[in-house]
Amino acid sequence: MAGKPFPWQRDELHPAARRALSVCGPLAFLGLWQLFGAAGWLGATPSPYAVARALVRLVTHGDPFLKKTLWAHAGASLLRILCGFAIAAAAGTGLGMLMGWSRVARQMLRPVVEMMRPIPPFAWIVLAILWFRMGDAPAVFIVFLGAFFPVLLNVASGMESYDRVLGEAAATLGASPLQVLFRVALPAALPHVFTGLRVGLGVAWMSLIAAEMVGVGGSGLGLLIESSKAVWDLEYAVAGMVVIGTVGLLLDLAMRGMEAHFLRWR
Amino acid sequence: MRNEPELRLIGLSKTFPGRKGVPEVRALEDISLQLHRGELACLVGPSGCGKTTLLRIAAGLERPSEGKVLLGEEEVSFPGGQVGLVFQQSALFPWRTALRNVSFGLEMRRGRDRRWAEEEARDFLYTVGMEGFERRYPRELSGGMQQRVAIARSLAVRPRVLLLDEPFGSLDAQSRNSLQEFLVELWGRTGLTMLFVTHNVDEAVFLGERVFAMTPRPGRLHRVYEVGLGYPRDRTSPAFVEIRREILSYLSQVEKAPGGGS
Repeated sequence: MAGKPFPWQRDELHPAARRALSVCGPLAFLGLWQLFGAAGWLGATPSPYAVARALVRLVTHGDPFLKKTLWAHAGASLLRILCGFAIAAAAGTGLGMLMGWSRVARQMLRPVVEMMRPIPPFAWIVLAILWFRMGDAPAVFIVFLGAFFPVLLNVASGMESYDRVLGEAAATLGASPLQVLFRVALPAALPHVFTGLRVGLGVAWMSLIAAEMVGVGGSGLGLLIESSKAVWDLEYAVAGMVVIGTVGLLLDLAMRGMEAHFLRWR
Repeated sequence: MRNEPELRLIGLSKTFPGRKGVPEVRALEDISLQLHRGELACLVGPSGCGKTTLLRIAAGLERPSEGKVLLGEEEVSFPGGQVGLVFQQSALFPWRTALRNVSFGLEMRRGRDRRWAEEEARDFLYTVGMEGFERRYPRELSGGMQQRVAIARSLAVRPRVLLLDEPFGSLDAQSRNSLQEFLVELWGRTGLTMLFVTHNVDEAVFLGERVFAMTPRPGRLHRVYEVGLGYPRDRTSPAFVEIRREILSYLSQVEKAPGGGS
């Protein structure tokens, strides 16, 4: 078969070709990185090989400064993101539903939310430490702030924009207003809810790393990068970045998986 | 039995308030009609004559500016399972399968569990001929199938009256005809009191024992036609064509008359 004449009519790539291409891209990237490094164009940037070696040492011996293993750092970050995100998801969904449902609540809360939303979560770090002192709590709070606003605003807009006919149909079938809220408006707004959750999870992850970099929590992938800088072991910093990217990707994939399951009716 | 009034609309008027630069709209003007128990009646009129507003008031979704709706002896002032409404677009819940759309109203009842509701719903899905489609989501069903499910969903809560708002309006001619036949047959089996709203005179005459004719701006009820033909009806029979002609010419007449329309 000849190719179709217009770009938008092109057939999907063969699955095997798709898989091969999505392996080729990263391999080419690593190859070029190694090559340019060998040519001396990247200055002191560690090579992929050095980074891989650092990764292995992180697992076996821990980082050079704090002597904590990769698992300890990644585990600490994961625990914080999961706790903070769970709280933000619950609170954001609850308050978002209230804002979407009640005009009074919407009018009162909107100015507050709109003013607080542009503040980067990281800017709260001083207050977070003041309020929550040491340990995981300030970091969990930063995660919460990162995820809360995207969830809240998406849930609220989902509740405002859902098809009112569905609520009316439910009412003629005998559903109470509260049942319409939870059994119709909320599931109808679920696509928006998931958009908020995914955006929120991404923002929360970045905010957490930033918070850890200034030492909040005393461990975590952010601190791993920062402490590597202290002893000038750049390959450990880049190894930390690779892990941060990988964990962020896995978190997003998990979220997409949940989304695909709960929105399978679309 | 048969001639007892089941649903009574008494002196219904509706005015939608105007906004800045938008004058208020008189949608309905003093409409009274009665549905007898077990009757299949049609309400016909051009688009924009207030048919949908009338049904929404009868279902309790909207309040009339004047007048009231009585179901038996009780006034209908909010929605709630007694008066069923089938919407123009099926308004099925897209996140629920066909079966769980039908079981929705039953699940909403206090102290009823999902399994019981689904077993009940299955029977109603069979009643509308949708056996085998239990686990399909609405988007996987054709427009005609969606309306069958929507009808089953309304039937499942056992309403005393079923209102239908141009339910076959967006279907192609083939499925429209087959669903009209299906509705007559369903009515014959269940004996449910139904008010079917349409702008299509042919559809109204095919379905209704009586046909109410409405005209717009403001929506008024002008005439009641007793169709007086047996079921199933033959669209090409002289009697059918004659009554259809009569309603059509009447509607175009009031449309053109001064003050009767645009």
